[in-house]
Amino acid sequence: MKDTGNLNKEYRQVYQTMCEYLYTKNINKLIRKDILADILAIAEEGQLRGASPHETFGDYESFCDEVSKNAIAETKLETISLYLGAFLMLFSLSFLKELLFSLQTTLQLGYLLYDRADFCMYFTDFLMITLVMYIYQRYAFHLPKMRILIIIIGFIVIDGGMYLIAPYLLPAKMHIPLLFIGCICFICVIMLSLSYWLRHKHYQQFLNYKSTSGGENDVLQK
Amino acid sequence: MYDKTQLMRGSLEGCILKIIEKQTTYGYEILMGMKEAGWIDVSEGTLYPILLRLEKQHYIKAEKKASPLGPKRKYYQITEAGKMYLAEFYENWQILEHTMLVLFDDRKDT
Repeated sequence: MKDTGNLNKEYRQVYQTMCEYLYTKNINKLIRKDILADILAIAEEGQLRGASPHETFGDYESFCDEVSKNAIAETKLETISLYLGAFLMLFSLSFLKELLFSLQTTLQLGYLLYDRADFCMYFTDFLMITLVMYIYQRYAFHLPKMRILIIIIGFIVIDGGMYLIAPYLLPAKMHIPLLFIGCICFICVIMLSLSYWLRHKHYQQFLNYKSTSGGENDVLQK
Repeated sequence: MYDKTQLMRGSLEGCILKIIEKQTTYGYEILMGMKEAGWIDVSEGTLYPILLRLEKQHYIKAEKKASPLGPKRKYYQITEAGKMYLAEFYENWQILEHTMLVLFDDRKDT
């Protein structure tokens, strides 16, 4: 989110809510950064002219929906690689943290003894960061004061659910082979790099086309 | 009661492109041009998504420049593809206008 220091309270609230809502939309992340900067500039100019946020933007949710419909979307591969990479990164870091604390034992055994409780905690964190925050931000324009309940309920359901179900699905201590940990870390790096590369490639294609001052319709159009 | 939004949606793009064709311009200036022409229901919130779409389709290109009011402004300029699109839009508009006049004025098609 850009620096909103120049905005008054009303405009700042609207802008921040738009940012939250647009974070749930399928837009190339670099393009989204540009869009949020544009929206901030529109808000600042609107404020300077004495217009209200409603006079400047109209219906806020419809405005954001139209913006996301017309912006360059993130491809499925970008989205999948990002979320998969993030998921694997969480567990890679968790495995590596456990390895650091029990390196000698792990090397002797040839595998890492991983606590079910740790697995539940990290899985819960992932679901909270992705699913619950998505729902929280998606309803940015609705029931603003009630949204905190979404987080509380989400946490209780996911955390409680995990701890209830996990004992039936997983042993108390899991034996994680070192090769598996290595593969997880490797795939994590590949996925995050792929997501990064794709995002920047699509953004750069768009910028390059702009700088050559288009002569014909091209394949970049979606 | 007739809902004119669908009718507006189809013509806004062409009107915006026409204003940009006349000179390199920015959002608020485009809005003023639209209002002077009679589009009283538009706001910058209506225009920005359309400008995004036109930019995505490479009918216009945008450049940020310093502004006297404070924040940097995005100035829009029509591209060659945009000019071709605008010409097609206007051609189709003229056909539609003629058809509507024939139907509503009960004139014979000449």
